[in-house]
Amino acid sequence: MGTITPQNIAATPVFSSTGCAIGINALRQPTRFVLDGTILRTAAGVRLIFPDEQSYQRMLALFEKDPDSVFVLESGAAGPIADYPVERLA
Amino acid sequence: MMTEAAKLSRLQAFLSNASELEVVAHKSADKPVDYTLKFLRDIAVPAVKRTIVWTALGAALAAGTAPAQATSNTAPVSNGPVSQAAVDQTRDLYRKYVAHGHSDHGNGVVMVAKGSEASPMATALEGGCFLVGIRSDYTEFPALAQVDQDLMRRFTLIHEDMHCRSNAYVMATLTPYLESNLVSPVFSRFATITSEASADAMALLMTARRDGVDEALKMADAVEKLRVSTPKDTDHDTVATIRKVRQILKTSPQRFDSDSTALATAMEVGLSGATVAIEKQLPARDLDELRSPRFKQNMQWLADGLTQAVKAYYYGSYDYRGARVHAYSNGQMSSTSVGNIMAPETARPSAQDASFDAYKVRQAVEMAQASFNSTAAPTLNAGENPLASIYNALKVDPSVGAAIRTGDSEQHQTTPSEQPRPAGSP
Repeated sequence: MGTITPQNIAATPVFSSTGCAIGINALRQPTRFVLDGTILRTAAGVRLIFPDEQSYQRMLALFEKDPDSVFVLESGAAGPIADYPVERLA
Repeated sequence: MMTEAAKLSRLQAFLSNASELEVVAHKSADKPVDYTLKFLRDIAVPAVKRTIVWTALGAALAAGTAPAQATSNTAPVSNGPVSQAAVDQTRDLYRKYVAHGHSDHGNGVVMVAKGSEASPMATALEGGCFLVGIRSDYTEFPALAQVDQDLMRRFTLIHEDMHCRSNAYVMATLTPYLESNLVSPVFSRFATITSEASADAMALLMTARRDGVDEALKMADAVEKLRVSTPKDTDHDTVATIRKVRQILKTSPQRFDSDSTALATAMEVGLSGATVAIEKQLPARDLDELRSPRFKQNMQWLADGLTQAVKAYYYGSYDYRGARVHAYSNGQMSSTSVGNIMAPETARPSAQDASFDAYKVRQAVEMAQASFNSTAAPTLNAGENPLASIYNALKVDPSVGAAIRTGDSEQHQTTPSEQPRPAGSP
């Protein structure tokens, strides 16, 4: 796990029995999210940092089983703004 | 809070399949503002057990069909049938206490039987605004079990209906702005409390009109006791409002001498009572927001929404007297008859019948804003955590199905990702 720096985004994972929503605060602009190996980041390279390693591994396991079960949820003060798929970087 | 949920298909699918959510949160020092947690507390977690089910119901109501498989992937709704006697009783109560005025949208009641996890609530859906989770008694909810059930039946119907009469219009006004930072979080709290306060006030005032002041005062005592007993429920911080209504019941009969006057008074007193509640709830550092240009703009939108509500009461296309009561049980709805009857032109009130108008509503909103403007500048208390109540709510309320644990394995710094988007961004 990395440390959150101004270049990283703090992500709040929310698990259900079947999937994981990765909660982030509002972005400056919409972006794409990719899984680069085991590194979850934006297309521009900004990493998403989970609160702990355990939850990160849990998210990865869900993604391996079903990539569609994991998505990024962007929320602002008034509620959810957008959701994004996580793409596996070829 | 309503959102443009149609754009959030992944989120909707995620919630519709979830019976329990587990949140792994950052320590508040690492992520002091976490809108995911706020969203979960305010919207998503209640939705898992309530709204998703009703979304299917609403679509069925709008389409005039029974909702096939409506509950197959959602939390259990009801374990047994709703008796015809219960439906009849609710219909009679609705006709007595709620069926007055008009609406811009269809209205209806959906009853559930014992065993359902659905709490009473109003929900605005495509096809109308519905009072859902209505039942013949509320003894399955510990806080509500203590209240006289005859009183609860009346109170619940009038209270939830008031959300359809006023808050649905406010939310429609705000919706275009919800994906921006133009809506202040402090205003969102104020609007929520105002909605609940107005709903409590309306229940008391309509009870006074139909059953007399003594009955309304009994309800005031019971509801105040209920609200005082649930201090963590900050949305329903309506004690100041109830006390104001009690005074009106005793001294100002002209303020509820018609149904429309009672509605106007409920809006006004709700606004006034919410100003007391919000100033009490907010951490000192957020009090300045009440006097900010953004908050003032938001209050204008609130006034616009309430203005629409006033117009709808007199000139809306739907007649409240036509609303139907449905019973919902084990994925089936009792009736396929839907919606309200359209209001004939002759049923509309004439101009002189209009006992309250948009101007009075705007005056009430301006008075609320004025009370904030006159408040002395607050002192900032260093170290106060404005999100403490959210964390507490998630931690202390296991019934909502959310577990939360805080990662403590690493030292994190704050994310900078919260930035305002340019206007017009998707």
